[in-house]
Amino acid sequence: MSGMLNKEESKSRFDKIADDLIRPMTKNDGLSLQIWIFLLVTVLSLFGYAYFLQLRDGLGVTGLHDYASWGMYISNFVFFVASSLVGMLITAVLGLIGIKWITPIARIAEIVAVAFAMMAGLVIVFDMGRPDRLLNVFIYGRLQSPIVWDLTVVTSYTIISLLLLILPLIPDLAIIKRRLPNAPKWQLLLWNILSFGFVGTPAQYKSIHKMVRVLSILIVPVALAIHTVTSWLFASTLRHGWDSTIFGPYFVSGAFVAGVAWVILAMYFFRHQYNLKAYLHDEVFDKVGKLLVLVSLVYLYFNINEFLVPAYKMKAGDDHHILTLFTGSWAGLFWFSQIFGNILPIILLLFKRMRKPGYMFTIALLVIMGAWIKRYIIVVPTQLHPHLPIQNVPEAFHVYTPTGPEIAITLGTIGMAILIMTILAKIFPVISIWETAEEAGVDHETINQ
Amino acid sequence: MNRYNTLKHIALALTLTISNIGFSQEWTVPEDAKSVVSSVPFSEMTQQQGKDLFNANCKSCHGAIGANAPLPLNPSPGDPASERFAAQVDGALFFKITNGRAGMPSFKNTLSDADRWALISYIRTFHPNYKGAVAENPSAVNTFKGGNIQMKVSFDDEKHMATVNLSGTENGSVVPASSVRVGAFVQRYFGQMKLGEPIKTNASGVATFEFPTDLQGDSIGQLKIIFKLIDEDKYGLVVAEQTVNWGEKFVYQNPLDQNALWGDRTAVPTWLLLSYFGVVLSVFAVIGWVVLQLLKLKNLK
Repeated sequence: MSGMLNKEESKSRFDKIADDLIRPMTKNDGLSLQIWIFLLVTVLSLFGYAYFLQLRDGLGVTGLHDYASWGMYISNFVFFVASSLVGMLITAVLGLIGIKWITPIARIAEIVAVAFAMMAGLVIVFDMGRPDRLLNVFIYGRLQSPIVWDLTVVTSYTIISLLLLILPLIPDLAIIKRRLPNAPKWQLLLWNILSFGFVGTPAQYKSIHKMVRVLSILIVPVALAIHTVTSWLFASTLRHGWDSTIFGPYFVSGAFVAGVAWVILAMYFFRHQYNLKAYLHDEVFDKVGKLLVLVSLVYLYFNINEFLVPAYKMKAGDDHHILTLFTGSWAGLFWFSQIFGNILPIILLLFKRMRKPGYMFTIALLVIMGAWIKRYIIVVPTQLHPHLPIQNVPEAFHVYTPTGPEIAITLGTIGMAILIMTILAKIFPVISIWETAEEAGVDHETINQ
Repeated sequence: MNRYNTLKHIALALTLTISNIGFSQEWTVPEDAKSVVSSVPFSEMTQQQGKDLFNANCKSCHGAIGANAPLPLNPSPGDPASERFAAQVDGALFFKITNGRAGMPSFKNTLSDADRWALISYIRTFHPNYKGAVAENPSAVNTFKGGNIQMKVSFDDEKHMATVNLSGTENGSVVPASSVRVGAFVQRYFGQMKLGEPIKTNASGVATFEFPTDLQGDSIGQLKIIFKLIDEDKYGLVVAEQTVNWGEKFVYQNPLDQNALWGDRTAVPTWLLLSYFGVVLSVFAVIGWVVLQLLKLKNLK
């Protein structure tokens, strides 16, 4: 393609792309950013106070008890792991099969992945009454325990996602370094370190492509492992509602739904806030909308399997679980997550006119709410009717009600994930400059002048 | 939840009421069961035996006998010294102890026939107007007619065999006790394990037992073998015990010592160890390779 443009045309085209994509990093966002940061800081202060209470008084400040020992925190953990899986879907699955329209959203997907993968690890720590005992996992951890596998995969996935975020950034940072020589010192230093001496030689391009390709292949099994292990924390336990053979793929397919919805939210936000309408254009939204339909259909298929088969058999114990979900005390949340988090988005997004940024933002918000609630009703109801009930159990153990501090800590972790995304999107360009320029026909020489 | 509990209580109350109606009715004993009588006469020995059995098995519900203090259950267990019990024939009591009903358990498998008769023999000591009834001809079968049986056992440790020698007193003289059934048992934690079928002594009062070679012993291979006369109600309790050392040594294997999924961190199954470190090391090898390439990037011209 590069042969088609003359030097001058190439230069002006590149200048426009680089200016458009770098501008959000330097622009003073003024009031809107301040309000945004204020909101996040408020949520984080609430989190700070609640976590102080929890550290001081222990897990007693939460609604957790001997029946529901996994509550909002673990539901949130599963939700975070799920949300982080979109990095693998976009970069690896779609990238490796050579889909072109992912160029403007690949980095957004990686930012979402990194933010949620990092927070997933932390959420587990927040679920511990004595976080200092985390060390015991390393001192006394058993390889037979899914918790150890979980720790391993979360760490590996976070590292690989970080590398997949940084590697395509290298040529961009070299560009930014040259174009913003008056940036603050710490930023210049950061770009300098993270550009790893890139100057744009063909060998350097080749090396980066190779590394990205190898990691894109590697991240597929690792991402499948992280969410399969998360699902096995439940499925390897003989409990009604968890005792399922399809929990692995069921969780993975659900993860893609939540992840794509997060990407849509982030796309919408950057499109407007960063004024990137020309790059995150309607056609990209249209494609991502179709992608959401695809992954939601797969998820719907797994949901039908997961609920219809046991509901047909109504095995003793399972029957009670299923009835509480379908018609009992959990029915409201269950049907909300199924209808608004899955069925309705599929139907709506089948229409082209619904695959527009505004509508899709609303739909993605519903999908995310449904996805969070879904994790909650996977984790909690099963624990409220154990196989071996405790004798003379307090009446209160039959229900689980999250407390104020618990909700504040959970909201805080979501706030932290969003804060990480905000910071990453402020110090790095959210759309790859060099890849966008390459696609526009700009040659490497112009890019690295 | 509260509503659920209320329902549960109502259901429980209903069940109890219905069962009361059901069980306050007469406990009928079949005629042929009523006519059954003890094969041995009640004696001081059977009464003493019955007293011990009563204290161990019956007292918890029927209360101390004669104190009229049974547990307040419905239907009432009753005090065995009472008129209600005295009015029943031996066969009826035997039937009730054997089969049980509702709160009264069946002792069919817990107490032997002789034990159950011994109980009745004890209860009868509280019924002053009771006239004993014993079978006309308790031992019509061709068995040893004498009594006071003595048991001698000799072991052949090589062949894992034992010879039981019985002698008894008949018509004033000591003779070999023939045609007496002897059972062999081995002592286990929760009772005695029967070893094969009982053997009848031959004309010279001898019964020979051959034991399996793979009997599980204790940690040093010791076994306690017990010989007992089967017709306890007839000859009384005649027992011989012997500890032998030809059992198989029991080696305790702690399941936690195996390399298994339930083991501790030092007992990881090999397949798990290999797959875990295989996967983790390969993944981190690739990551390491990428980091190395990254560091080399600036030298690539």
